[in-house]
Amino acid sequence: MNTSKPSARLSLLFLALLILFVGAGCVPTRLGTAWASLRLVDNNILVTYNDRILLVDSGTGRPVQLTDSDGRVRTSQDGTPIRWQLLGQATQSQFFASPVIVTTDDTTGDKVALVVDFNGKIFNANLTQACFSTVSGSCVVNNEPPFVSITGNIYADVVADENRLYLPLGQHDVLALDKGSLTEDWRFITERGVWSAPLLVGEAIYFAEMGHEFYAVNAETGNKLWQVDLGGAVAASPVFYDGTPATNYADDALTPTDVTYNLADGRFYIGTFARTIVQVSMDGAIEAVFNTNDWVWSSPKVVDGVLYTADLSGTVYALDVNNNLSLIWKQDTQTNGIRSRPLVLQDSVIVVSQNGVVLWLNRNDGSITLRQEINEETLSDMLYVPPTESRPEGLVVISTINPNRLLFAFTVAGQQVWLYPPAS
Amino acid sequence: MFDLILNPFITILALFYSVFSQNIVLSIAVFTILVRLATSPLLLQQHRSTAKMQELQPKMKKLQEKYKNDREKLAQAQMEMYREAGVNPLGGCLPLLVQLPVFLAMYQTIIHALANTPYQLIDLSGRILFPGFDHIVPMQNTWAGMNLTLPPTVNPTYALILPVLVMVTQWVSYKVTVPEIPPNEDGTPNQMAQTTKTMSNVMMVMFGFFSLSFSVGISIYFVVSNITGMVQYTLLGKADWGKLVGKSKVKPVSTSVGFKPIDGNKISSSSTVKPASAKLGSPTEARPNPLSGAISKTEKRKNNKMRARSQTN
Repeated sequence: MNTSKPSARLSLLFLALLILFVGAGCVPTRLGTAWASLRLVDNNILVTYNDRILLVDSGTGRPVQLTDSDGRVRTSQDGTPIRWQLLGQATQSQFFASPVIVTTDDTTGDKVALVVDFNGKIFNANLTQACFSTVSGSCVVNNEPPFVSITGNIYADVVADENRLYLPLGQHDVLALDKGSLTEDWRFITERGVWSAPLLVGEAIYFAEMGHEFYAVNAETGNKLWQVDLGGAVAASPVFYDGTPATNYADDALTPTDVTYNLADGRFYIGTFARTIVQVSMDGAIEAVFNTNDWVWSSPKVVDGVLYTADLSGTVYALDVNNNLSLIWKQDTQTNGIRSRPLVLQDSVIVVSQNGVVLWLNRNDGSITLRQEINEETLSDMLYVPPTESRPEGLVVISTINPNRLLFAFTVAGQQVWLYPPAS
Repeated sequence: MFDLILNPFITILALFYSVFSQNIVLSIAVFTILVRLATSPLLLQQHRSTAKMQELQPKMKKLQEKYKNDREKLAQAQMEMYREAGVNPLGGCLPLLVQLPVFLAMYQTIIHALANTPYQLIDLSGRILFPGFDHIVPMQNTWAGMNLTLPPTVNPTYALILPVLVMVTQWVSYKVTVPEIPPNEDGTPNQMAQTTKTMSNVMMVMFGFFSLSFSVGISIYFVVSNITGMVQYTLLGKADWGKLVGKSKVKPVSTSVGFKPIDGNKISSSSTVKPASAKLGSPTEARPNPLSGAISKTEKRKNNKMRARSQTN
């Protein structure tokens, strides 16, 4: 090759620049943003992921279809049934936080949803008609719906009490908005971002930030009650445990608002990137620390005095919360890490690894009793769907990052029931 | 495969971030300088190769005229010429290509290490090769109000100064470090000189475009890299700052056809082709540089061989 020729040199230059440009763009730099959030609404699964929010029938794994007031399925002009879904196309939105369901009429039970997108736009959605709505309540189909905008990205679920929404902001701060007017009630300034859902307990809101601090803040005023340095970043929601036995699936909701807490015996449990599980008292003192093998990005699950958690090395731990987090058992699952929160059901601890290996561990000794592979990257928290009259067994629903194989449902015993979207 | 480069890079950046009081811009700057120093031998090789190719231009022209109707013979004659001169025609490009993965790794390092979203951060979790950096994660990805992982266009308006800085430093760097190419014997502009000028402009615009499209962090890398390069060339006596104001250290003079006696010190200590009229020790000769001593000796030996061959011819 004669590189002295100007044309050859120019070609080589452009080739090099092309390689540079393509290489820079093609090596997975534009990584995804976050993962799906699952929530149970009237026995349907509300899935919030990327460009859409959709409703899936928990019994069949089929998309929920819109019906009219007579219960008949609504169809489009070509006769296709209309699915219940909210699309982010019109709004250029990405969704990772579950909508906050608000009951607007206690007598009729009418509900609306406050939908918060990744870029801090808050929309009002009509749950009956599956559409974004205007102030007057009419549906917005083709145009961008009205929204309230806040500055900041939302990675984690928004929590709400009777009066306010509490938004964890990805860059920094927690913002409290009036639930009716969506105006700012207070803003608590943090040094770094809040990447996990806050926790409402009693009259305070608790949250941890990526800058190592765990805060207790008065939910009414936004005044700080205390803060404590956990020694590492926190990306998983803290968990409160007061010794009350887990009785039903509601225990899986990170921020139950209809639960009466025994605050005197309460403790917080938080996993950190400093490879620790930390036990914090109600007045903000660190009472116990357990060292793990790797970062902990999984919210712990505490049942009957035992804390179950997992780390990004793929090790699952059972710790005694009544004995300074002493180790009961641990199990190296030989997977590439566990981000999602364990489910504790019957005699099993169920975990799913990042590379899509679902494991059932014996709750008493941690031994692996069942292994299923879904072969998809899995980062979301699992959802437990309790039994119904028509389906006597509860379901474990797992969400992947692949929209073409988004949801897998297993029985508690480990048998796969359905896949969403259904294989054609 | 790419992780073999990327993960050590991320670990080193994490180390610097930890050492430099969690100042991410300082960490990127120091890391850039380190990368630049590590790739210096490649740059020097590229520089020498480019200079040699320029020396062979007159002879190349002769060959092109001689074999203008026989491409095969022309190619053979060119290869023979390269062989005799000890020049690899790809020598100027290969080092550049080798540097590409380094640049890509640097770009990826900034994006991955300064994870801006949960997905990016979870990807980072397995990339830091040594324990002990847990307390610094996630690294601070904002500086002076700018998010270093996002392009200047979605940062505050003043972030647009960075692409401008990249273009300016790129242009200055190219101007002072790329060897001056003399005009042809008949006084007309050398085609290669025009190509080089075009390349410098294209490079400047392309890097400006990259800076606009890619993250602010990579703009910092570009600026520091350009400045480091200029400092390196200046210390080696290869930078010609006079070209910035139209007063080149060595005035370009046309070289005659054939192999000219070339002084080793001259090649290694100046980026300009030695004028035919220049003599050893003449005022136009660049300063000998102690840093380039080893290179100079090697060059000298090669050039002596070339001189002997040309005398034989």
